[in-house]
Formats: sequence, structure tokens, C-alpha cells
Amino acid sequence: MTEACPTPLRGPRRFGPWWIAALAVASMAALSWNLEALSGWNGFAAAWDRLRTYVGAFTAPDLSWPMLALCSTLTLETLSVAVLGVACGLMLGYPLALGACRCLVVGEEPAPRPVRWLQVGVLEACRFTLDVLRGVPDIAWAIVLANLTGVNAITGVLAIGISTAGIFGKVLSEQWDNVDPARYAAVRSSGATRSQTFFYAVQPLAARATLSFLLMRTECAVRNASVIGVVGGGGLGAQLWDEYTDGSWSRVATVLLALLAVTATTDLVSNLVRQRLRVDPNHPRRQGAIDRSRQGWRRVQVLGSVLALVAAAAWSLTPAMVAVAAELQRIDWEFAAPYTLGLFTPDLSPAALGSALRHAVVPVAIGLLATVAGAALAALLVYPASVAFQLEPHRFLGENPPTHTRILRGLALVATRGLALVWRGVPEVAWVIVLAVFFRMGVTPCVLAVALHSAGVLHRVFTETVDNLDYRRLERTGGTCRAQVFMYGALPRVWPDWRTYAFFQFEVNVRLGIALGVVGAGGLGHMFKMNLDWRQHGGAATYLWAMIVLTIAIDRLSRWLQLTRLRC
Amino acid sequence: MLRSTLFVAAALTALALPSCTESKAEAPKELRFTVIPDFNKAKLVENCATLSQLLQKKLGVPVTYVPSNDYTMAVNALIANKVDFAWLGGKTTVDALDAGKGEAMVLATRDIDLDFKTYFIANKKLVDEGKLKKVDKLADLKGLAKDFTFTFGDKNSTSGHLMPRFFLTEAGIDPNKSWKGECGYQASGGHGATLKAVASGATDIGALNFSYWEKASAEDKAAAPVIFVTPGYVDYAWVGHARVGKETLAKITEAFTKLDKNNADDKAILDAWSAKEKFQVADGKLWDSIRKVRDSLPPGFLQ
Repeated sequence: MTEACPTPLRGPRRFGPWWIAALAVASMAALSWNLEALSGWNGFAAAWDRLRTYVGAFTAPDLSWPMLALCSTLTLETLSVAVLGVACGLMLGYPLALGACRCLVVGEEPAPRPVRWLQVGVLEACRFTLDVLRGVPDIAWAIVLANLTGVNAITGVLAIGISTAGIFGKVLSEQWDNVDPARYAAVRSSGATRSQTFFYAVQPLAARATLSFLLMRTECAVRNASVIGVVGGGGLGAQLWDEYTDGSWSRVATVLLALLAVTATTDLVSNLVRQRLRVDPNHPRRQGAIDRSRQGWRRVQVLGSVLALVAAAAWSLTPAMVAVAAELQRIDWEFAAPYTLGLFTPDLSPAALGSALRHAVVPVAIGLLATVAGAALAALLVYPASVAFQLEPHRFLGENPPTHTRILRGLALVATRGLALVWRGVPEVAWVIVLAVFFRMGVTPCVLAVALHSAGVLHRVFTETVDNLDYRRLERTGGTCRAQVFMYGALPRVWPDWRTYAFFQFEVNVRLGIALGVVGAGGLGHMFKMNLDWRQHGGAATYLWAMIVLTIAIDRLSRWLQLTRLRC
Repeated sequence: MLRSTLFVAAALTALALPSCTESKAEAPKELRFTVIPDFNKAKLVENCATLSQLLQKKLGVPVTYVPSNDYTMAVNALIANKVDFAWLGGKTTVDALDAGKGEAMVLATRDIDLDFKTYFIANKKLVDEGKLKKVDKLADLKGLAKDFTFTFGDKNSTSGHLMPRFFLTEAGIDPNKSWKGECGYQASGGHGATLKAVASGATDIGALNFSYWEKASAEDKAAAPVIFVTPGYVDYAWVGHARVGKETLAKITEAFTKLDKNNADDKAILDAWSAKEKFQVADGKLWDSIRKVRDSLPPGFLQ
């Protein structure tokens, strides 16, 4: 029977905690920490003073009418950029995902050699395109594009669209390829062609996971749209950066609060929708059976509202689109052509390559440290935030705590979840700005910012995996106390998922490390911007390609470690 | 139907494009300009709106301000025909002259730009305690550098970054290594950020555009007194591109150089641009010294 299962199911490769610890120590050594702002008592007192001014400003944000009006306009612009960016990303990413999907493009039936070469060629070309789109962080795309399209919301839409296409295309094609072939064997055996099998079996089977991921991306896009303005993409980010460079803390506070309101709302809404998309029919809190007879109508409703949303976003950005069209029409291609081409012809001298390699260490080190710290912080807070262990332990432990204990547990749950919501709701660049007040700009606030942000993101998925456990599995460990059930019953079951999520976050964090380089962390992002500023387009191209190579390397590493993608 | 409409549109565009290029010699229907974002953007936008109105009156064509998000974008906008003239800093002026391949030229500059300076400022507490005092040459700070933190402006800013870096290096102080800890620089524009950092005591010493300091509030100036004034150099300029036609460029130059301090409207612009008396014509060759300073710094100088 072993031949019937061509790809034996293996767990992920093992890599011990020692490896991670050693890498973390190496990362710490590789970064130049800027802690002189805190050196000695005076430095610390001064930093504390700065923070107090800041916190003071936070308790008294600028709530004057013009500022509020400005913030609400910018909030709408940010949301429009995000929605339109995701829509563009989907339009660009979906066809590329089809091309990068092995079960659609190559399939398993035999084919003559030239055909197979063609198939594999298409597959690899699409995958590489996705790597390029995804490897360059949206901030870098925005910097490149803004020189052509100008300081404009559309620059933000394009930058977010491109990087969303890269991420979405990759994850989508992986989700399709991860569908167990046994589940659609019946369709294939009835004589369906490869594309029929794909459209009638593979895609519907992965649909829930796809939708869930799409929602998560939309949420990320809202966060990214709110900071893309820092480099010319419009929206709240531009305002935040202006107020920060100008040192108007009370206005920074207003913008940050608006930002937080937007991201937190999106976060909560997406949570609600994602709950309805749960795949597991035995989930403890699954909402009642789906009424098949009304599904068609519901689809029309959902599709209609999504289309209406995109249309509204497009309508609100029409002036910006007209402006960009005018900009592009004016542009002198004698400048634009070498500028664009220059970014694809890297300087390949050994000195440039060596420098790119050296500077690649910074984002990797930032990514690693921030992921380790963020994952640890998130893991610590899972227990108090888990619905299963705080609100419903009676369902598998049989305990019956008094009301005040229940209330306390409920409060702990709300508090930890709220904390994580703020951590992930404030975008990384905004965290850097907040932390730079205390530490001054440099590596330290950047690492902490990425760590806090990933703690927030990971806390949600970590908690979700625990709460998604079937209570029946926890019952068997009954008879012990709650904490023990969590430690020995729940943790071992969710551990592999946590590791997958953490590695995925690592990949995201390395990209963030690159993006923050532009703002002040150094490394690849910084060198890219410096070369652009010094008009060394070949040099800038070297660093741009280094970002892409880095992303591909991490991607292949995660495949080699067999850390499969999110199962949502 | 749609296809034929598109075809007609494409044909019209094709017809319209060459006629656009031909009409370049004639007076343009609209002029556009940008400025480098070197301080508070809200104020910048306000100043540029006032300038647009005034120039529109003087030149008789609509004049539009196009925002740039960073210094390089302003240079690229000029080269890429997104704007016709731009207010650039010393380094960016040289960048534009080089990238313009003879087409870009200096139109006018402020009187203060021919003898521009950078101020080194220190936190008042340190000066009061006698730990730092006014010096005549930067070399006097050499022995002290390791005990103090230092910050300056955007790496593209001539007065905020390149010149202080140049003068420090000349005096034997390595801007990256000699100071206490890593040297900080404001990631964006930010002469204001430098002033605030030093005035609040977050950083001990800073270097910034002298004209920004002179215009700052008395309170900030008192909290961050000047301890060193650099020798003069050339800095900001209005740079234009020849594609709008030499005549138009001459008209723009004239509009700037004829701004009169005694006229209220003109004075508003001269004040907003911190000119002492007037804008004046200047030879692009004057910026050769800045080119030398720029070229002495490779793109990796901050690492």
C-alpha cells in the first residue's frame, strides 16, 4: 500500500531551541544598539522626561475641529487606499497564482517532454514574478513609484497592490497545492481535465482558507496603507510623519488615535467574519448549521457589498487617479526610462555585492530577534486570553467557579486581548516613532517596534489555535488543574502550529526590517535609499535585488524545514 | 463602440503629443514648481500657495505647486518634466545641474545663500555648567567630542548634514565615531527636529541651518545657544529646466529678482523664504564647491 501514497506525510524538520538561541545571540551582536540616549542616570532621566511629555500629549491629544476633520478625511483616504490596493493585488495576484499552482499548470498525468518543459517554465516564471513582487517591501515600491506618479494616494494603492499580489499569489497557490489529492481523486477519475478538476474541486476545497487569508491581508493592507504615506503614499501616514518630524506631539497623538481606531475596527470586523469561515465542523463555538437554501442569496449579498466597497473606494480616489494620469502624461521618458531600467540592472561588482551581503545581516537580525521576543511575549499571554481556559473551562474540567472568579477571569481575558489589539493595531512605523521618543531613532526602537507588533499579531493566532482545540481532547487530561491542562494538554497540540506561525512572522519581520531601514534602522533599506539619493541607480538596484534574494532564501528555507502554510 | 472610441482617443493623443513638443518654444500654458521639504510641511504648503498666487499675477499663467516627499523626489521631478522649476538645497542643486545634462540651470538665489552658514548649537544647561563653550574653530571640540551626543539633519541637507559633516571631518572629528555613541541624524528634513532635540536636552550638540535657528522662537534659541559658526558656502537656489524655453526661464528669474521688500505682497514671499533683502541672479559655477563636498562622500558614508 505504500505506493498509493507518493508523498509520505512527514512532520516538519526538527530545529531545536538551541539553534534559535544561538542565532538570537548572534543577531544581538550583529546589530549596533543605540542605547547612548539612556546611558547614565542623566540620559535615562532625559529619556524619561521626553516620554512624560509624550504621554502628557497623549492624554491631551489635539482635538480641535480642523484637526479632527483632517484626520477623518485622511482616515477615509487610508481605507480607500487599502481597499483599492487589495483589489488591485487580487487582480494581479490571482492570475499569477494560477500560473504558480503546480496542480493546475503541471498536474500529475504524463506529458511529452517539450510540453512539460513549457509547463515547468510557466510555473517557475510565475513563482519568480511573485517572489519579486513580494520580496520588495511596499515602502520600497512606494519610494520607487512616487518618483513617477508623485506624492499621491494612488502611489500607495500601487505599492500595496504590488506587494499584496506577491503575498496573495504565493499563499493562494500554496493553499491549492496543499489540498490533499485524495479529496479530489473522484473528480479526476471521472475524466475531468486538469482545469476542470482545478475549478470544480481544488479551488472550492480551499475556498474557506483562501477567504480567511484574504481577510487577513485586507487587514494588513489597512495597517500598511496607514504608514505608506511616510514615503509619499498619502493617507494618515504622511500626516503622522510630518507631525513627528515637526515634534508636535499632541497632533502625533491625534493621528495615532485615528490610526488605532481604523486598524482596531478592521481587526474586530475581520475576526467576526473569520469566525464564520471556520473549517472545522466540530468546533466548540461553531455557529449553527449553514442553511444551504439561502447560501446563494448570501453570496450575492456579500459579493454586492464587496463590489460596492471597491467602487466607493475608487470613486473617492478619482481625483487622485486623474492627477496621476496627468503626471504620467507629462513625464519625460528620457528620465523615466533609464530610471526604471536602472533599477533592474544592478551593479554586480564584488564590492557592491559584498556590501549588499553585509547589509542584509541587519534586517535578518532584526527579524530574528523581534520574532523570538514577540513570540515569547505572545505565548506568555495566551493563557489569560483564551476563551477555553478562562471562560469555559467547566466544559472540559467540570469545575464550577464562583461568580467573582468568573468576572476576574473575564476581565483578564479582555485586558490581554485589548493589549494585543493595541500592539498589532499600531503599525510598526508608528511604533518606531513612539519608541524613538524614548530611545532616539536607531536599531533599538526598530527591534522593539517589530517585536511588539509581532507579539500582537502572534498573540491572536496563538490564542485562536488554542481556542480551536476540540474540548473533547482536553477532557482526557481532566482531573488536573487548569494550568496543567493548558501546559500538558493544550500546548503540545498547538506547538507545531505556533512554530509555523512564528516562522511566517519571521519572514514578514525581515521585510519589515528592510522597510524600517529606510526610516532609521540601517541595513538594506537604508542603503537602498542612500543610493537613490546619491543617484547611483545601479547601486540601488543591487540592494533591491538583495531584498528579493533574501525573501527567496527565507522562502526556500521554510520549504526545506517543511513548515507548511497556515491552515486557518 | 468602446473600441472605436479608444481608437479615436489614441489617435487624438498621437496627434496632440507632437504638437505639444513643438509648442515648447512658445510660452507654456501652465508652470509648475516644487520645493524640497526642509521644514514643517503645513507651513511649506502655505508658503507655496502664496508664491503660486504672486507668480501667477506676475507671469500671467497659472502656477502650480507640486509637493515632493523628499529631497531626491524634488530633483527627479525637475528632470522628469513633472515641474518646470524647483527650490533646491545646495547638494540637490548640484544633483539637478548634473542630471539635467546642461538643460538645468540656476535661476536665482537668495542674498543669504551666497554666504550660507551652519550653526552648531548646544544644550543651554551644558553651556551654563561650563562643560561646553563657544569655540572659534571646530578642532577645539575634538577632545570633548567623546563626552557628548551629536545630531544633525537629513543626509541630503547641505546645511544640516553635508557641510557640518565636511567641516567636522576637516577638523579631525569623525562624525560617525568620535561622538558619544552613534551619531544621530534626523530622518526627514528636520532642522526643527534638530533644534528640538538639543533644546530639550535629548541630544547635547546639534548642527542646523543658521537661518532656521535665527527664525526660531526666542525660547528655543535660549535653550539651544550657538557654540560655533561655520565658514560661509553657497546653498539653496531656484533651478529651472530649459524645456520651458529660455525666455520663460528669464521671465521667472526676473519675477524673483524683482521682488521688492517695500511691496507688501513681495515682502511676504521674501520673508517666507527667509531672504534678507532679495533674490539675485547667480552663476551655476558657484556650486562647484558643493559638488566637491558631495563627491567626497560615497553613498555608504553613514554606515
